[in-house]
Amino acid sequence: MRMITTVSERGRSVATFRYICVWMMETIARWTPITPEMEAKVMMGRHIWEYAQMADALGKRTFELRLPEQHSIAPVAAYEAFLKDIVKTSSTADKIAIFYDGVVPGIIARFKAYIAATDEILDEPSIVALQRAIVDLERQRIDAAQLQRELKLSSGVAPAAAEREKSIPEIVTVEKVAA
Amino acid sequence: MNIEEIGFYKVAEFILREPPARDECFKVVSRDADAHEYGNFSEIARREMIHRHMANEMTSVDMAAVCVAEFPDAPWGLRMELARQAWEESRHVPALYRRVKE
Repeated sequence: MRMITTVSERGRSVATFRYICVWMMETIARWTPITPEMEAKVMMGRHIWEYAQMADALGKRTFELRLPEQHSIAPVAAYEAFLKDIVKTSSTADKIAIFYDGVVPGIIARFKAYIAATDEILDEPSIVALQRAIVDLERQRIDAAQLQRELKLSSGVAPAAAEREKSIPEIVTVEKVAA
Repeated sequence: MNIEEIGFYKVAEFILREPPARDECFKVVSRDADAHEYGNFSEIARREMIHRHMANEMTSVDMAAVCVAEFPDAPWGLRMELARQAWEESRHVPALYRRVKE
């Protein structure tokens, strides 16, 4: 990833990450009432709140980066289509696998790439918010793996989703400049 | 199943949501009058009471989650509260489950 040097780029990246955190919150919330397994519901209920906190922290940061507070920017069309397809996943086993093994690792990688590419002093608040999100996301993957073992959930859908996620190199849209 | 497929039903003037998905091991009833009552404080009566309480908490997780999912234009502060409620209710479920097992 190339270095991120302007406030505008930081703002657009953080607002895009916020969009993804809100998407994670809404997706897991959407799946909760249609998932029959009690253990899965309990895990999802906990994670909904964690995604809300991630989005909130990033949304406070967008204001510091000269955008409105709690501002989100949709990612590039290919990534948005990818996220929309994930929501359609049907069984509990596929949902847990595609989300926590297919999508979340890619999001963690994008957050880490941003941290490596931005200025550690000038953009420290973004880094702190993303580092906290990474800790939660990595722990959630452990939660999901434990659930998969407990409920004997088996699914092969994650690798294809992870590959599709990786095939989209850049998710932040380019700022339109008025002619 | 999609969330949109959870339908609605009417009781008097109220429009209510159909029940969320549940494990097959549960017998789902909609009214207290339909729930089994032992009428005493025997071990099985207390177990039923805690189990019913646990089922209520599980439904509260579902309700908070539905509100987060279906009202994307709600003020962000309210969405945060609903997300927090989903967490709160999901903490209550294992607490009661532990008590049921005791």
